[in-house]
Amino acid sequence: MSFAVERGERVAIVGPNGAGKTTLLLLMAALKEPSAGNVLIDGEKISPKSGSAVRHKIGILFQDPDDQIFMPTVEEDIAFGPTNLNLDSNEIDRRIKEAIIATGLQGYEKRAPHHLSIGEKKRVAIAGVLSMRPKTMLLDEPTSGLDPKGKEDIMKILDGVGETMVLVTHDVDLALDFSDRTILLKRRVIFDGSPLKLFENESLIESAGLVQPKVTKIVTILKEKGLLDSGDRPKSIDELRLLLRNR
Amino acid sequence: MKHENIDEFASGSPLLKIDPRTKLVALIVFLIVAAFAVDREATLCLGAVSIILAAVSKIPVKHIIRNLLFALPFIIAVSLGALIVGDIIIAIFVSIRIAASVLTAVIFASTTPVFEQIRALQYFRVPTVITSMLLFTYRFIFVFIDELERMKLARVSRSMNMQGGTLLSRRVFKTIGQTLGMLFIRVNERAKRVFFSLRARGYTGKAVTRRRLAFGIADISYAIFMSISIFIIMSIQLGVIL
Repeated sequence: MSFAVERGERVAIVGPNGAGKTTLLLLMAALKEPSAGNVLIDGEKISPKSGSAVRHKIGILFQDPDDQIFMPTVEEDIAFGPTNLNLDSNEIDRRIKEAIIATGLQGYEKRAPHHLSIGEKKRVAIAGVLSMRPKTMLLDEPTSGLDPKGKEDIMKILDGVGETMVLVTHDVDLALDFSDRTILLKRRVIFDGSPLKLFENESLIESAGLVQPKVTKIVTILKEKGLLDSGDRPKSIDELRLLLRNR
Repeated sequence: MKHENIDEFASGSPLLKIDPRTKLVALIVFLIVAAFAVDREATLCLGAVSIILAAVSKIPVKHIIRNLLFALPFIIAVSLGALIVGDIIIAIFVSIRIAASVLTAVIFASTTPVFEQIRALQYFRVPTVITSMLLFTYRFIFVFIDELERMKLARVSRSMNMQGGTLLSRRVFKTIGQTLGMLFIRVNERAKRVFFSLRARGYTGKAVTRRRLAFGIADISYAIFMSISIFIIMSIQLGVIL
């Protein structure tokens, strides 16, 4: 497979279980060596041997925060990455403060991460990545295991943090809402383009073992009933609600 | 799932202020002295020092007793041995020596956050592979307990319970074996993921922290107290005093 992610893009990589989404993310984060081919960042080849240079560029949020949170307190965990990057103490303090504010973790600084709820752990994990100030954020199923409110909160946090973001998920609703470009993966790239275009193609989606997003299904029904125009293409329930309200 | 906080009593103890390196050195010297101080008066002094430390540490008595109970089978076994080769008085004093040693170790462990203990070990050049293993064990023990608990629930939910069976029962033995095998696989998978996530945040094999270890007045006071105590115990043992 071959594809490029441009600066400032929001790309969702979707595919069924076992499609290779997480492996692809590990390759992109220079945590795994590709058996063939190359991964390039800013035109430079990267690999697990690239060292700390690549860590400034790429941050990865893992699916299970328990895999990611390591230190005995929230504050120390957020400082873990910048400390490994040998940044000076003032800079680390500044980054911790910023990450705590961005993730709404004020008051959690001295708490032990392994005693937090899953939603709180996710926020700690995000703060840990943010403190490294990566130019590109790779997100592996960031909302898995969260209740609807927790999911919304996490996506709100992520919405305001990254310049370039690559999301890996099999949550088609999330992919449609989040991305401006979607890649459908099933061991190889079988679609690369607009999320609306992908999710409106029911046969392609089904052939990849996925289902259409709820909002796409509702829009189809509303169009059949004549309640929406053929050009109306909302990406989320909120957009659909706004569209219907304005009619 | 809720778990016990290993560092629960560390934060409220006055002994937390003492540098973990000072405490570790004092503990090791105390244990060595306890191994050699067989004199009865010296043994009583050992007991007294450990009780003073326990009182200063402000650790709840219940917590101390619960931890001492773990050492009880060992104390009983050694005391029985002493009883066989000696008499009841020897057995009692042997028990006091072991209890004092365990109590001092419990105080060290309870008043020093695990991460600080590991940093002290790192300072004394304990191989990274050992300190890393301790660190990972500390961090992931609850995660593994959760995994084991989930596996147990899955087993029970499918009507598999081991009530009425013994370890010698083939069914129970097989189930335990399968559970351990499955746990090993899951732990191995998690270890890979943890390794990737650590690498992603710049980890190169040594856990670094921003907290600076530093000696202060509390360390000097503690070192003086322990030195005087050990000096008195050794003087008694060597017959210099009493």
